[in-house]
Amino acid sequence: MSGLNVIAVGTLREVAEYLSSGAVPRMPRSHAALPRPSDSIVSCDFDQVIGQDAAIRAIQVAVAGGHNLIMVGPPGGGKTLLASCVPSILPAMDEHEALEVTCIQSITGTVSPDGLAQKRPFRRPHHTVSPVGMLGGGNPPMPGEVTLAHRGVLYLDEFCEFVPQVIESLRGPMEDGFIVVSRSHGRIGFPSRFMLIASANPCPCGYLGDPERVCVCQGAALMRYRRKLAGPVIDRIDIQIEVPRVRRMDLERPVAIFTSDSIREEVERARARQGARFSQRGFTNSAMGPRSIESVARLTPAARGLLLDAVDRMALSARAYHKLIKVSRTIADLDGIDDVEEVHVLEALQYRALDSEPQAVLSYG
Amino acid sequence: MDDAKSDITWDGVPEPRDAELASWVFWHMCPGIGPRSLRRLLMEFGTAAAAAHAASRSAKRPDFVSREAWRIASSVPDAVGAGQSEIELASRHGARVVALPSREYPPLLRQIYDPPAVLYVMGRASLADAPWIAVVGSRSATSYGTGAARYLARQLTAAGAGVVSGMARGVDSAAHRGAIEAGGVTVGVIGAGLAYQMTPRLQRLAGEVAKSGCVVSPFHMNYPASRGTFPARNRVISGMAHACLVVEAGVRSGALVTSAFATEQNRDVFAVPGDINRPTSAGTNALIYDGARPVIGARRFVEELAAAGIPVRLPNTAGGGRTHNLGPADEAVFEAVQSDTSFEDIHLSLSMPARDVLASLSRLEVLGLIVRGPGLRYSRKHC
Repeated sequence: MSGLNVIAVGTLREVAEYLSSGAVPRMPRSHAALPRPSDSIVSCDFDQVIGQDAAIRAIQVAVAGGHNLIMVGPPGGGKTLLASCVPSILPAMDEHEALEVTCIQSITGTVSPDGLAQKRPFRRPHHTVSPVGMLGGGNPPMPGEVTLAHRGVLYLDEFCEFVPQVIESLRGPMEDGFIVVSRSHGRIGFPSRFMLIASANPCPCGYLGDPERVCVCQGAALMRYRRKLAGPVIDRIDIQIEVPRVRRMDLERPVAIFTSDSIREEVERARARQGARFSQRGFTNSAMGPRSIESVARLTPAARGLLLDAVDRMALSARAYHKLIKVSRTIADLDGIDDVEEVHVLEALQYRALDSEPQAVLSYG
Repeated sequence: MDDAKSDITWDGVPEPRDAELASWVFWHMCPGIGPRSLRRLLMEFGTAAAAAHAASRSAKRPDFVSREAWRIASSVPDAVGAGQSEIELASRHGARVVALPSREYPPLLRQIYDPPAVLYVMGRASLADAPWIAVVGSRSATSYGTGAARYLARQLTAAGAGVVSGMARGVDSAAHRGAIEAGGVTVGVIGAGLAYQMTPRLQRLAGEVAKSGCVVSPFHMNYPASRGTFPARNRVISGMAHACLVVEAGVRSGALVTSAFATEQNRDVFAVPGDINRPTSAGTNALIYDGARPVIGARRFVEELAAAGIPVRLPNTAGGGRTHNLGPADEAVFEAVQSDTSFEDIHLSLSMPARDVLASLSRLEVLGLIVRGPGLRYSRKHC
């Protein structure tokens, strides 16, 4: 821990001696010299993922810009594997962030004996989690999942299976970056700046839109399910992708293998560019407000023209428009380019599966 | 057709108006009175109104009308009023009543064995206008089926044909949607009264279809859906169409009922072949084995329709009208996109990074050259 001068004393006599003469009894053992815990703890690496190049790229963009992400696809597509690989590409925490994470861990009594937390938290609450478990509460008030995921990732597998109230309640913490737990003996504010990753099946049976398997969902059930894939929380998810089932053929013929390390390097560079631009630590493109978007994004005339074309043709809302600009900005940052160009907008257009698709899905369903 | 079937002709029956139309509606609503009974009533009494009047006076029952049906008909004191209020009910729902001799009644449907005497129609299009082609298939369709239905419906629209289908989930919906997307007319026939409760999905599709085409029911406004109403609906679908195309159907699919009616009504039946090990294509493959014509491409399909004397026009050279200047990468991606092609396939066939493929796909989508379906699949937009 830098900036702190720690003096270890064993007895009151030593305190008195130190205060009178300034004699330091003995040097404390430093934890900082401990080696970083080996990366074997990081469970998954993207080199284990085969045949989901588009999804991996989308995840890279999401992490680089701190964008929330939702993956929609049939069972067996590897959504969970992809999500569990995310920690391996998260940028390293600076000391300030590490201190925050450690503080939270100390409340719940999970501080590691090695000192400050090294890894960003990756929280994966089960879909039966209660509102209190998600937001925090109890007596005395304890942090919930949104706070435990602070500076890290909150992964909601089977997003549509969560109780609607729990999902709705995420809206506040996602927007504000903190959550206030009010109880009879007072109010406690907990930080909750996390990246949300959600995954969901396209329909209750999971095979909607599959080229080979028949979706057996009935119309009404399907409508009810799809309604959960819309709403205020989904609206705040910048990157929405589909993860199709992998066919055996693709498993045998991978196009390219990505390693988490190479992906993380690019992410770190993109984050550094964002930090320099906003001159604020930990600030990412996803946190841009509508006002700063226009001044910060810096679209080339061609890119702006294309964006407006797309807005017309695909009937995008103002929110979708802003999401597109933010994601395009992040893709440009990954490329290390100052101005957002056409190609960045084009790629961003692919990451809006839920903005564009429901109509087609509902009528086929 | 044997004599027993051809003895009844609707030629020369004048188009009913006002009180006579209301009487037609009354007889149409009357259980036990089919179109053939109505025709014979017309021959016996001259007009539908006169027949209703005779029934209400408990006149002698004609022997082709069942005792029960005659009893019900005679129990209604004001037949014309009953028909009138049904017509009013229809107009409150934005629907109109089209009687069989009307100019708007689909001419082909008039020629089948038992055409509905009255159709309830909601929507702008006229039923007599387009050369209708039935596009039907399974509710539980794969994306192959919905993709093919949508694509072929677009092509039919481009060829000047109208798409008629059954508004069900799966293939039917995709066919309607393809026609709407291509700016064509489409007719959805439903197996219940137009005022009978609709699921939200059906209601929504009905709204879309009625905007450019129309929704049709052979049943009176509040007629409930049941097992028996769907074959009747299928008979109307195949009856008003010049040809019947089955896109995807399992061995027990209702679409096969439609195609059987089409055969019975002497219409050409086409089927889209599928994988031999895919259960949802077993019915269509069997149709082809039994003599239905396989659809191996949209152009050939339209050519065959034209050769059969159906007034469709062949689309001018496919893809030749493209004026966009594509870069080499976009061009390569466009070449790789066919119908319902998955991202993996596009990506595998090109040695380009995923992000460049994604960017090209977006550009093609913004240019309107391709459309994106569920499951990260892309198709060319042909119209």
